[in-house]
Amino acid sequence: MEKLNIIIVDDNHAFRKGLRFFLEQECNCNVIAEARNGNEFLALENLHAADIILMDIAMPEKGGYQTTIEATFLNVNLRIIAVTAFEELAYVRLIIESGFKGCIFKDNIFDVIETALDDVMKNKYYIPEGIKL
Amino acid sequence: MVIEDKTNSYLSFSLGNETYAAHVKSVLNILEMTHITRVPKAPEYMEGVINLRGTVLPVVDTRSKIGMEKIEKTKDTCIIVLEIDVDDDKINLGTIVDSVKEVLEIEPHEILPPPNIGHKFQSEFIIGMYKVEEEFIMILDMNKIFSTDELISLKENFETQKV
Repeated sequence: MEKLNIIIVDDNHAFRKGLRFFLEQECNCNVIAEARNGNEFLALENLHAADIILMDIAMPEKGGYQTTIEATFLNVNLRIIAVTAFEELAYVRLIIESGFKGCIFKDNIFDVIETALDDVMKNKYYIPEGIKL
Repeated sequence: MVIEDKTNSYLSFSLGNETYAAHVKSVLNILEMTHITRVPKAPEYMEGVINLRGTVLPVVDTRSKIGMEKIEKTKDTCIIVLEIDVDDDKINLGTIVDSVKEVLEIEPHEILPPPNIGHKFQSEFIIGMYKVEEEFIMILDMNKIFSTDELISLKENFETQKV
């Protein structure tokens, strides 16, 4: 099976590195870029080379919702999954309308990430239970 | 799933201005810096313990263990969770680093011998050096930074406790 190309967008250094390590060592993924906020992400040259983008919702300067709206305007085929530590920021309607293909909560990300990546690559939405409409 | 050969993969991290690397087989995961509960009468290199999913994880300051001054915590400070061999068993240990860098593929022939800086410094935990652009990275053997007695003591005092 070919490795998935992933981009991680999150302002938290330890979280980015921890997720990257897990994806590369345990999930047979290739992390092709990291960005600390939406503006850095939109400036990446290899943005369109990603199979999946994992994007924090709450980031300084430009947050996940606004970034995804702008990114999917550039390329409707981008597969972006929202990642958040704050369940109160996650609304299904807003997630789908912004252009995300799913949402993952940080507190169980390592348990669900492989399923989420798999579902989204099969063109399904990945929406966890307990998320608000 | 294709099992990749990771025999030459090392995770690099920084402590102050220096960069070190540890073989990925010793690394379990990377955590955000969090509140560390100090333990009375613990050795100086021991920062304390944290709660990791219901178990007690001892956290050490590797820099102070190898005789260097402590570092200031920043927003990039992380805890690398290591799995260290002790006798026929293993112990999980957290180590505080300034920041985590990347996983490097380093072939054995690319590893330069460790610096010979005299008997004052114990260098048996330095496997060798690796040159990246103009910088040298020190490759550490995480199993050798602690003596067997120190690890056994950590294991007995902390590892079996559940919160």
